[in-house]
Amino acid sequence: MLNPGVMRLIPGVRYSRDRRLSPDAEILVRLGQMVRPETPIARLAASAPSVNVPAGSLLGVQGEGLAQCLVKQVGDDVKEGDLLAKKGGLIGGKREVFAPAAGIIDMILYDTGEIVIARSRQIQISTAETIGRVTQIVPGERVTIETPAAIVECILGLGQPVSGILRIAVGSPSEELSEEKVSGDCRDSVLVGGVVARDQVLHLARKMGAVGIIAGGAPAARHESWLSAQPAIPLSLALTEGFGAASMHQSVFDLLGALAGAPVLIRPLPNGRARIVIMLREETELKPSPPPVLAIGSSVRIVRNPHFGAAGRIVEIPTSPQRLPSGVVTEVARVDLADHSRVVVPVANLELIG
Amino acid sequence: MTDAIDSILAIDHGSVSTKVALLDLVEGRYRFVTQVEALTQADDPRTSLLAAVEATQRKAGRRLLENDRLLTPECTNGSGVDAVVVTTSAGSPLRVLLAGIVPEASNAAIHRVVARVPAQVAGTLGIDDLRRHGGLKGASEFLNQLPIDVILFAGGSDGTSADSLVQVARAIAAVKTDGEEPALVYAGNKDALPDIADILSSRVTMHTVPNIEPGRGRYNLQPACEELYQAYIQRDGALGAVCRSMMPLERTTLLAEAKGTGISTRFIALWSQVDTLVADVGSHTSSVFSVISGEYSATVKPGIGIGVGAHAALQSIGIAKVLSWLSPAVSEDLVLDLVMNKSLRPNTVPSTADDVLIEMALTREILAMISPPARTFGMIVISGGVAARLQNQGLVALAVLDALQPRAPVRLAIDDLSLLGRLGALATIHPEAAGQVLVEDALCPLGTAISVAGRAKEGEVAVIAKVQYASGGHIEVHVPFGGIEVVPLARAGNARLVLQPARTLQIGNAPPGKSQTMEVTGGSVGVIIDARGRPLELPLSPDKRGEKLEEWLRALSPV
Repeated sequence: MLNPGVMRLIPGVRYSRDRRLSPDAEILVRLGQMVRPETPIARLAASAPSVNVPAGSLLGVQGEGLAQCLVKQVGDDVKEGDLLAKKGGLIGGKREVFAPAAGIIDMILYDTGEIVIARSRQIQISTAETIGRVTQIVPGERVTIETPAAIVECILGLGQPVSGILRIAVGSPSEELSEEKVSGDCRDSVLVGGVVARDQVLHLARKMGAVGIIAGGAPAARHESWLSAQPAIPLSLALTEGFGAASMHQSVFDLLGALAGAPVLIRPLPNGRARIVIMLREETELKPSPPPVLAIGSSVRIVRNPHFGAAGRIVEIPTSPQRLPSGVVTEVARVDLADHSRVVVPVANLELIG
Repeated sequence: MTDAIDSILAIDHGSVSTKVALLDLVEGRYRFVTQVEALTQADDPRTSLLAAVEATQRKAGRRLLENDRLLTPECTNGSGVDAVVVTTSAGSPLRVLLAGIVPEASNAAIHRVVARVPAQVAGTLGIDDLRRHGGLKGASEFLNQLPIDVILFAGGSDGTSADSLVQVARAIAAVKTDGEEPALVYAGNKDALPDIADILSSRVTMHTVPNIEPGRGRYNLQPACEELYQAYIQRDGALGAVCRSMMPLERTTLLAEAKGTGISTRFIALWSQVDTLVADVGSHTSSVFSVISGEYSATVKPGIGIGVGAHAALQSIGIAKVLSWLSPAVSEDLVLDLVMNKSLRPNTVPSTADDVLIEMALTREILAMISPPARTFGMIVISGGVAARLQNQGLVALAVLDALQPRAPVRLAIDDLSLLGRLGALATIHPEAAGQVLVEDALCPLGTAISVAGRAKEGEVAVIAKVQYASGGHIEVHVPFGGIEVVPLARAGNARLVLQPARTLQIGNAPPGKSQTMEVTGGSVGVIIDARGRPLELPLSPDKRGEKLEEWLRALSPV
């Protein structure tokens, strides 16, 4: 039987993240310090590779002939676009060579006709990219950041890692996050709505100070416009369910509601998904939460039409495949939904919750 | 090894699911026994393979594992298997740098090599590129920044000047990489090889194969393809390591799934003795393999599919084309939401009739996009995607006719167990077993389709078909222009068909109006007479189009 997917919804866990560092990185945080995603934790002065400009061949001169053409000399500072060398001008074809990058003229190689620009050292800052407390520092290797947290895995994440204060903006998991719901001071807030359907809401939320939105679903057409938006979408976004008018799963909404006011992180992941990390108090008692399994009684959500977004419990898992109205023959489960109806759903269209 | 093989475990490690099929000798012939499918865990092939094999043990009631290793060879008590074949399509496409391109050549050959394997062009480095990058140093810096798995170095016919290839080789030699050196496949001018080897053999691992274009317009692509397939498998080191830890090396064959499907395609063409097309619309990759007049060809499109690649496919095709295969009541937003959700959760299956029609509409357009223009195949096989899961195989047949618009009588079949890739891999160690399973279990015949080309007045009789069943009895069917009729003919059935087209219509290469007589075989759908004309034109009016789509669907898949 095709095993279903899993939506991880962990009410309490010790969330730990290692930030790997370069050997020469200078640490900017101390043990016990609270950090946010944008907090600088280390810096590194790195030199960029030098640039060799083939001035001789571009000007059509060889060997020492290049010396007659030089506008800049060894040791000169140059900015990108500065004139480096030129030939001709009054009569005949004029040729000019410009600096492709900023730096200092390091060498002139007459045998190859190249001007070498040594680029300035650049300071690279590593940020925390998460929330929590610094619990371990291993210089030149890593900084560990930890917090007790509730975790919600989301199907889609857009934008940068951001943290803010969790604020529930709607009354139910199916309610749209409309402009009216984005009111008052949203400074440093991560807003929670059932569905986010309009671009204007994102812009208004950003204007009011929000840094992120967590919602159940959004129309796919909006996603297209968000991906192509220039500049990028104004805040970070995490969808728990998917595209369309999918309500947020009740248990996710309930968990977020119970933790309203807590610091929260939206962390878009490299695979296009997102993780929501909600900080719990240090004294919170954490209980182990093993991954859920496909079994009678398991809590599930349906991730495809016709019951997309509905939640329920498995009451039966027939042993043989069944034919669906679509004509597809596949393994199914019978699920009792929250509205007390019973539906037959392909196991592939279920996600276990827990 | 062939003599010792009675039972085979055939594993496909796909991007969405891992399938394990058990093949065994049944009454002296190799047959498919059972199959299990488990979700592929990204970046954890060991868990995926173990879960799928454990599930196969349970389903087959046969012990296959001991301490997480496959039991081989088969024991006298029936435990274990004699051989294991593993195919993979889970890895990302191979990133290939095309090097050595010479401006005066067409360079079609080098691109055709890449198009035949799960690969994408990461960059090019020819003599023009050297100039563009400002010489050797600039070019080597450019190369250093490119994520490359393999360099495919080709160019120039044998006997032509080697100068430009040598310059490109020097640029490659100048690259200073921090990580692992990419492999280099040399498939160019053989007279340049000594100089190229002098420059490169100490810098990269060089694999030399015959020139892909030994003479102007003469191609020899397969050796270079084989090397790229080898690189594809070696690049996915994690799967290889898992296979080595779970299976004895001497009894295991690991192959790219696309390569296996290519081998099966050539077998089908040999067996059926007709030009053959195999189209595989997968989750992440779509491919077509063909044999036309004995010549094999393949196109593999990574990133375009009906699962993970559904959104990219829709973007490439355009939503208007997909909507044209759907009722006007289906909105653009509904299609977009479904396709995007499918990309997020590629393992889901359509539950409703609307959902399956949307997936099949996208499948049609992917098929049309990747298939060669030839319309005279004698055999078309569909593999992968929702098509393989559908019990309503009339819908699959209709999608094939819509997308490929064959002009000659054609046998249609479906690889409903998704076995073709694995059987191709099996053919490399045991062709007899592969052939028997392929013919008896893997190819599920849908029937024979006969299409009429040309135009006539809508509703007028386009073709009169007289069907004489080999088992006795006959029927006569009048098919109106613009319609499709299905004549029942079961899988094992044969019939003689006499077709009389209207005077403006033709069947195959026969002149318009000329009658045709042919022997046909049946299948799960039957004999399909497609009198919609070629090229197929959909009504412009949305309502009329919706009516015709429904009419054709009813003809092929009666409720």
